[in-house]
Amino acid sequence: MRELLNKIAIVFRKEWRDALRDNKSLRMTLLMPVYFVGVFVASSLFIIHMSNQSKATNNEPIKLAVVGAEQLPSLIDWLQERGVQVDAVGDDAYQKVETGELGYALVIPKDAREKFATGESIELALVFDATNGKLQGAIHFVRQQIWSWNGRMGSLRLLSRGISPGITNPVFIRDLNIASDEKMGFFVMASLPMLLILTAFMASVGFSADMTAGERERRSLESLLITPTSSTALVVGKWCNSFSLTLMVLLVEVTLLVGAFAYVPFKELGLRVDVSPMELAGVFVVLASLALLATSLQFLISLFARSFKDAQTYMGLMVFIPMVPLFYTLFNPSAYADWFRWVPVLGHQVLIKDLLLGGTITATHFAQLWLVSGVIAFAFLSYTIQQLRKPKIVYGI
Amino acid sequence: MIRVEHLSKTFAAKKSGGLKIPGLKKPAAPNIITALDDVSFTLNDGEITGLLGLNGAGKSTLMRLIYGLLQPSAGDVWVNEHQVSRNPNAARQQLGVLPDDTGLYKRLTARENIRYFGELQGLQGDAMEKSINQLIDWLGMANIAERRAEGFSLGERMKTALARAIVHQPQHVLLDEPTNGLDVITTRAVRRLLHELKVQGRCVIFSSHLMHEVSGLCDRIIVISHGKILADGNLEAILDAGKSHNLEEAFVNLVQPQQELHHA
Repeated sequence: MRELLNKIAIVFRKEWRDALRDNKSLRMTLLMPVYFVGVFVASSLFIIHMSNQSKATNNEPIKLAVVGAEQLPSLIDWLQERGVQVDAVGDDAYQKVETGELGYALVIPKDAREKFATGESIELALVFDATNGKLQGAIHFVRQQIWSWNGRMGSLRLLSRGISPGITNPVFIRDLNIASDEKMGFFVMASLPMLLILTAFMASVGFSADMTAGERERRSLESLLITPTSSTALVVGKWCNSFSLTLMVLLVEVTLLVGAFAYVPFKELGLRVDVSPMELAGVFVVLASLALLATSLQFLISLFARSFKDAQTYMGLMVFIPMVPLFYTLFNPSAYADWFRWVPVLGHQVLIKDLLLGGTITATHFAQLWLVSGVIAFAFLSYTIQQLRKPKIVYGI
Repeated sequence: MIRVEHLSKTFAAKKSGGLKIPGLKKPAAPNIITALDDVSFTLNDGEITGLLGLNGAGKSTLMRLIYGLLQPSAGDVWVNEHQVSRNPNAARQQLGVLPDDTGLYKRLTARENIRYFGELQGLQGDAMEKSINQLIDWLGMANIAERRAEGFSLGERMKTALARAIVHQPQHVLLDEPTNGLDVITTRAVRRLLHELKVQGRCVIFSSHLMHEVSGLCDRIIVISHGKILADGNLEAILDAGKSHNLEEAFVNLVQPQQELHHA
């Protein structure tokens, strides 16, 4: 046993020395968490910015220039009740919209009062410049208000003739738009577990491939396998290197997140985001169990790849494995069943989400994930160890 | 002492590919390539044995079977009292192997490359450093010892790999074409080293297809072709068997009929 640990330490030390001298790869690996947290912070800030802007426009009353406002006082009253600020303007409104002096204007014809009284249709003109995208929201609102006044008037007229308004309205649509900025904020928060899980899977991909497929490609694997070092020592020593590298990258990422949560004003999104460093430490513990599984999978895959290039291709595909449950839960955020906690990646995601968004957390939840990940990692590594000295692996025959 | 007993190794030939429609043709008998066919010999300590053969004669396969990374189809290999198929790690402890076309760790220095293998062989402390320094001295590597292996010339790579292979001073040394592509100075350094190993009473076997190399160095020559031993003995015995006065001629005489047989 002591002999084995000693050999593992020798391999581990050598691989770390090798990794530390591979400056470029190491830099790129450490750049990943910076990049991921950067993307997260940037998208959060963007959504906060957007939400602030839409709040600002919501609070500002919609101004409507009206020609001939005196012709249809009941419509004007209706619009004003709905919060539209009506300004009466002269007959040159069309020209004013054309020159850009006015954004848009409502033109009520001169014979409107007369037609309204006799129950004829009145042609209202809404003058606007469709290329001006900024005003679309306001115009849409005005148009909607005119339509609802229209419907109301029509119904009243039918009622006064003893006909149910339902006759002319076989259906009506009630808009229930639940999308809001809070919702967007929730999506950003829900994407965070995905970024973290991806980091756990990707951090040491290059190094794992280099230590197995790369070593074979550079023809140093055969010499290594001729030494009387047990396959267990070789695989575990190398794997420890990948695992510790992944832990390091995750630690950097979680530390950056501590900073991000301290400085990004999530409150402005109306989200209950008070993630303390303590909870992020919990996230790290969850991710560490995932790293166990991810790195052992990397070893298994790259051992069976014919070349370093092959290994990288396979690992690129491997990254899609965790994406499957992640995408599912991203679009069904409320999906949850107790068995989720026993499924790697899915369970990790559930617990990370609970930690970030404040769910109930018990020690059992952590234990479940460590148990599942540990067993799977052990199986992967055992198989890798068992196969390492097979001719198929060493010589490809 | 390395004892090889009735060793055979066959490989299934890679299928040529292409779509086969089941039921259309009877499946052909599996195409078997015989790399080694009932080979037996015993290598003694204090002797340098040369394994002479054409490309693809089975030299590398034989080496790989001795150090146990290939499993024999029949027969067995013994390294002293250790049976390779039963106890490969104990056998490997007594073997120093320089495989064909071996690679170094580019980001480690020559000394670190050698030291890593020394540690894996179970050496440590002063004994290891002493052994490393001795090899660096013997192979004339002082100028490259502290340099990273990235950008080493072929000769520098070969010397480092050789030192790495024998840093634990194994009783048995296996070298697969150790002087392939080396310049004359490096070749001499390698030859000197092999002599030194022989004087120390170690068992040395190396494969080559260079006649002068083998005739100049070896106490014993094994000629191998298509997985079979055609001749085994000292230089005189080989010359006798090949009915010629120089090794090259004798070798060709031995190998030619075999070649024709296989290509007929």
